Amino acid sequence: MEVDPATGAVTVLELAAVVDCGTVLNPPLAEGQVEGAIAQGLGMALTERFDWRDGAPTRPNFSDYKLPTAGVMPQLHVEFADSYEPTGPFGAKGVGEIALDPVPSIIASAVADAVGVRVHELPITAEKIYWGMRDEDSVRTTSDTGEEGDGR
Amino acid sequence: MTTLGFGSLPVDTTTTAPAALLTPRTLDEALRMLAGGDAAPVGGGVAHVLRRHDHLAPAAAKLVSVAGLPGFGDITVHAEHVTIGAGVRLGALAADERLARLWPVVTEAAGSVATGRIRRLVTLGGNIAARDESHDPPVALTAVGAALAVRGATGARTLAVTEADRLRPDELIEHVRLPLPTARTGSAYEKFLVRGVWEYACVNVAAAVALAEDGTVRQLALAVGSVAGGPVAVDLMGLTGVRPDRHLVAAAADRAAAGTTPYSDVTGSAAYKTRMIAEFSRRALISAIRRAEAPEGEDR
Repeated sequence: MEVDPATGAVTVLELAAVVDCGTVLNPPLAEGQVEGAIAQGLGMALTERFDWRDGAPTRPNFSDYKLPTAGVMPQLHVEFADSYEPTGPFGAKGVGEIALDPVPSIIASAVADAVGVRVHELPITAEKIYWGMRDEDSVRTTSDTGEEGDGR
Repeated sequence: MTTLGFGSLPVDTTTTAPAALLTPRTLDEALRMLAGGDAAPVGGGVAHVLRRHDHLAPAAAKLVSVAGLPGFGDITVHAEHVTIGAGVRLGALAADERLARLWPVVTEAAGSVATGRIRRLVTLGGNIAARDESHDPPVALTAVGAALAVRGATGARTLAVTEADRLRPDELIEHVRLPLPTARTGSAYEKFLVRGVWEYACVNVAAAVALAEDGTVRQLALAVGSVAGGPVAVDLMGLTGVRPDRHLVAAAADRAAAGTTPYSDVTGSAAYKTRMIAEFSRRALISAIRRAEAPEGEDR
């Protein structure tokens, strides 16, 4: 992963996932599920941002709430654990969402490893990383009136 | 700022009413149609489709198709200047090799707009006339000092790109006129997509630099978009006549940050954008200077 120190922008280059879903019943399908889950995890981690005001989303459209596209997908490596789930059919268990869950936290950890900034709230925006690298929170909250406290 | 209302969207039959599409053969015929007061021009149709998408009434009962008017689709290199017809699609503009050599900032900006499918439709005139401060081509055209050749039923006039808000409803942009760059000129465009996915820019900056024989800066221009009143031509008075070094780049970038007023939105806070305006001004200027300093015939 790369972080542009001048902007805070994150580029995810390569991502490896090892998934324990019990017995893999249909390997290409399971792999596709994991790849899709990683895409959604990257969206949650980096691009999807929901802003609220007076109980309503301020930008209720997909032109501002950005879903991840092929352009942000890194090179993927997907492997499955050699495992058997006794309570599941043929030893299998769910694979749909499981690979999504760790993605935001590994992106956060990779950012912390790269530039020493630990972001605790999603999405991990370039702006949060930028101010974190400069430790200028006071500058941000005083000059950015009206947007305080929205976790930018 | 869009706010989601409660309940279902209002059903308003005026928003789905068909508009008549008129296809004039000549510019004069188009201007007569527009002079009626109940007609609006349509180039690629993007703004009109977005109005429908947003459940707004059509811009007018009659839409006058202007992209196919004679000469509107031409890019012509004259002895002293270049003209780009208002009906030129941004995709064709981005792919024009003559312009890419003369003013790469313009082809880069045109090629950075939206997606390929949209660039195949959007016309340069429509993109400018939409007067959206975040649109890319007007930023680049402001930096190169382009002028809008405007025609109305009562006559012709010339506007600066930053004066597009003075276009009257019965006027059309006929073409955009760019000066020819002098020897040792470089230009570059920078568009910052903060999330790495397609969306409106966090900041967009265009730079143009002309060097004198002795290598000092003869002319310098920076334009910034996605800011209040954009595109804004940054005042760089007093920064010419020196060598194009990092001190000059830093001074010009500081002027760009100080002279523009970005707004907070989903791509970042105003404070962050001010920093990014400085950063991408530096990047655009450095690219432009490198191109100006490159020997003749190399990638400029």
